[in-house]
Amino acid sequence: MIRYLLQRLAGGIMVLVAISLVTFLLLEQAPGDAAEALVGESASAAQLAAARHQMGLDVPLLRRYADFIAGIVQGDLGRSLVSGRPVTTLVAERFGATLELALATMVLSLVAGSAIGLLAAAHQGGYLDLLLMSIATLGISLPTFWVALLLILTFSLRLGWLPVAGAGSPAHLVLPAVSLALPTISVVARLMRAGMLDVKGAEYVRTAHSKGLSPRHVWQVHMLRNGLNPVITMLGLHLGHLLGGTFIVETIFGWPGLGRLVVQSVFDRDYPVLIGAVLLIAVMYQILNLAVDLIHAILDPRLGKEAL
Amino acid sequence: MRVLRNLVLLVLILSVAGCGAVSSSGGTGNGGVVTRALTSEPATLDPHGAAGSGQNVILPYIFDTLVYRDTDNTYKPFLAESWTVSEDGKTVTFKLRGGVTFHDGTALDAEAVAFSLQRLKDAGAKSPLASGMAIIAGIEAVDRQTLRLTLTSPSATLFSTLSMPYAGIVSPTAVKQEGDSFGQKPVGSGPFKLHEWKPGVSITLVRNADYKWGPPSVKNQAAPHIAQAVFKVIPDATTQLTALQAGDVDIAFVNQPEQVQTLKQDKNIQVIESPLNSLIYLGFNCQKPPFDDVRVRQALSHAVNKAELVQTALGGVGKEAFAPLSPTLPGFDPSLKSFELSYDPARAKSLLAEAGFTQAADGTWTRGKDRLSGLLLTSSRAPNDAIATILQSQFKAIGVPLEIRLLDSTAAMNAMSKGQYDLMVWRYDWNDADVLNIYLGSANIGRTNRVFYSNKAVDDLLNTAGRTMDDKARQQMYVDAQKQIMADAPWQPLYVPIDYTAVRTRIQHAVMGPMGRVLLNDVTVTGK
Repeated sequence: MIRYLLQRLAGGIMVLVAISLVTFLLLEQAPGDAAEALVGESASAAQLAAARHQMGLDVPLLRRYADFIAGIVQGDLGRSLVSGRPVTTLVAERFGATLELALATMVLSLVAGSAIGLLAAAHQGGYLDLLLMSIATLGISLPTFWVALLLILTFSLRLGWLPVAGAGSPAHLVLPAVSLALPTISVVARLMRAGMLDVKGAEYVRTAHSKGLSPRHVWQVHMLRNGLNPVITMLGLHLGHLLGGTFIVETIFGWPGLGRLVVQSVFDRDYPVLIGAVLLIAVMYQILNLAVDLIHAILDPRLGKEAL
Repeated sequence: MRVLRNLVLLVLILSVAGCGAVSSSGGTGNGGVVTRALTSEPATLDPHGAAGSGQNVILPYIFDTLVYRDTDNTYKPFLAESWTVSEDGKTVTFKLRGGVTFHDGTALDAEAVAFSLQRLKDAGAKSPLASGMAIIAGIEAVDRQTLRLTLTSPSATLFSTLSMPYAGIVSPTAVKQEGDSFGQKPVGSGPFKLHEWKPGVSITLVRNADYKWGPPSVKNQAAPHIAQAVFKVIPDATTQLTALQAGDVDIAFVNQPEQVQTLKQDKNIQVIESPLNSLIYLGFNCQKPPFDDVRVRQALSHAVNKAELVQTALGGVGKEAFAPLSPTLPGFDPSLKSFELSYDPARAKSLLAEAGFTQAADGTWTRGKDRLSGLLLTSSRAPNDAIATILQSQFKAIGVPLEIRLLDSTAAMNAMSKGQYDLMVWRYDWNDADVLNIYLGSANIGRTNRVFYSNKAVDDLLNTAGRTMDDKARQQMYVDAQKQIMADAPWQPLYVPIDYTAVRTRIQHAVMGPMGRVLLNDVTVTGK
C-alpha cells in the first residue's frame, strides 16, 4: 500500500513538471508578452523596453523557467507580473470559492441524480421511468450558459427570490450550483439506473431475496453498493473538472472562482499566476484520481487487491 | 466559516432593508448605498502602479488630483487652488488648497504632493502616464502650500497628465507603512475611503465624513450624502443588465446597442449618454505595397459607407466620424468635413485605375501580377467583428476581397506593431489632441504608430502643437495637421462611439464627469 502510494506520488511529480513546462512554453508562444499587455497601446518603444526589464522579461527563456522552478521547490510560486501580489495569495483567494461551488454541485448531483436514477430503475419500463429519463436527456443536451441565463431571468428578475450575481451568502450559491449540476444530475441518474438494472438479475441479488430479506434492504445494501461504482468514477473525474474552475458559469454569475483568474492571467500573459493556478488544478486532479481508486477499493474489495 | 457567512448575510439584509444601517459616522449624510457593476476587477488600487480596466472607474472616488478636468476639456482648480506658468513655459507653480487631509489624518501639503508625483515618476513604464511624467525634470515643495514643477520643455499636455486618475495624490504615511500592499489598502484624500475588498466579488467604499474639497462641477463640495459606494464585479454584460433591472445594481456602463434599446423601455432606469474622447478608425499599413500608394488608400477610403456601417453594425448607436480627432477633443473642427474622403464607389474605382490597376471580368483588380486584396486585422471584442464583416462586404462591392483576422487585443497590437496586416480596425481613448502624435507621429513608428505613416510636415505641426501653451494657436496647428492627414489617408475615421451609463431612477443627482465617470458627490437615494 505504501509502496503503491509512493509510486503514485513520484508519477504525480513528473506530471506536474511536465504541465508547468508546457504551460510556460505555450504562453511564451502566444503573441505579445506581459509587458505589452500591461503598458497598453499608447506606450513608446522605450517604455515597453523599460517595462520588460522591470518585469524581468528580458531574461532568457530557460533561465526564467529555471528560476521559477527553483522558487517552487522552495515553496514560493512567485508574484503576479501585473499586481505584484504573491501568486499563493491570489490563488488561495479564489480556491475557496471554487471549492464551495464544486462541492455544492457534487452533493446536488449525487443526491438528486441517485434519487432520480433509483426511482427510474424501480419503475423500469413504466411511464415514470420514461418521463424521468426524457428529462435527463434534456438536462444533458441544454447548454449550461443558456440554462444559467434562464435561471437568472426566472428566479432573480421575475420572481426576485435569489440574487442575480455575486457571492458571500448561501443564496448566491444556488443558481450557479444548479446550472452546473443539471447536466451532471442527468448523467448520474442514467448511470445509476443502468447500474441498478445491471445487478437486478445477478445471482447474489436473487440469493439475497430468497434469504427473505426485505426488498428495501436488498436495494439499499446489496444493489446500491454496486450501482454506485460507475457513479463514483464519473463524479470523481468531474470534480477535478469543477475544481479547475468553471469559467463560463463564473463569468455569468460573477462567481469569484479560479476559472476567471486563469483566463484573465492568459489575457495579461501573467505566467506566474497562470502556472500557479494550473499546478494547483493538476494537483487536485491527481489527488482526486487517487481518492477515486481508493474509494473503489473500499466499495469493491475484489478490485482492491488488483489495484493496490 | 458558517458564523462568518451568516454575518455577511445579516449585513447584506441590513444594508438592503434599512439603507444607512451601516455606519455613516459623522456629518449629515442621509445614507444609502449605491452599487455599480464592474466588468473587470482591478488588480490593484494603487494609482501609480499598473493600470488595468476597472481601476480608473474606482480611483477618482478614493484619490483627488492636483487639477480637475471638466467635461468641456478645460482644467479647473482641485487640490491646487491656482497656478502660474513662467514666461518660457518651463516652470509651473501650484498654490495648494489648505486644510486638506488624507483618510489616515496625514496633512495633504506640498511635501505630500511632491512625494506622490515623484512616486508616480519613479513607477516608470508601469504607469500609463510615463510619457507625460517624463517631461517633468524637477518636483519641489517650496513651502507648505506651494509646489513647483520644472519641465524639460513647455508642455501643453501637463494638465491632462495631472488630471488623470493615475496621477492621484497618495498618503505618504500609508505608502511607507503598507509598502507593497498599498494597492490593496489605498489611502487618498477623496470623497470615499476603502472599506472592504472581497476579491472577485466586490469593493466597498464608505463616505469620507471630513471631505470638503470637491471639484467645482459638483454642487456638494463637502462629504457625499450617501453612506457607501459598492462596486460589484460582474464580468458578463447580460448579467449586468439583468442585475440592473432586478435592482441588484444601480449603475452600469452599457456599450451594446441592443441593451440600450431594452433599458430605454424600463421606467426604473435612466439611460445617460457618456461623453468619451474616443474614435474608431480603419487604418492602412502605409509601408506595405500596394497600400503605400496614397491613391490606393484614398480609393479604399471612398469605398467605406459609414452610414450603413453605423446602422448595421451598431444599430445606430454611434456617430459617423470624418476627422481623425474625436469631436470632444480640442483641435476638432466641423469645417474638416469638406476634406472627408466620403462614400463614393465610382471615385474609388477611378482612383484604383489611376494607380495602375485594371479590373478583371470577375470584378477584382490587378496591377502587374498582383491582385488587390487585404488582410483586415482587429481585436475579437464586440463590435469589431461586426464592423469587420460590414467593411468586408463594402470592399467586395468594389471588387476588393478582404480576409478578416480577429485576435485578442494584446496579440492584435503585437501583430500591428510588426506590420503583419494590411488594414486594421482600432479604437483610441485619449483625452488630448496629442493622440495624433502618439498614433501618427513618425517618431513612434513600429511602436504606437502602427500604420507606419510618416509625413514631415505633419510631424512638425504635431511636435510644435505639443509645446504650445496658447490654446488657440495650438488648435489651429491640429486643424492644419488633420487636413494633411485626411489627404494622406493613413486612417479612414469610421465613427465616434456613443457609450451609455444606465442609472436606476432611485439614484438622484448623478453627475456625469469626464471619461464616462459618474460623480457621486451630489447623489441621494430613495427607497428601492
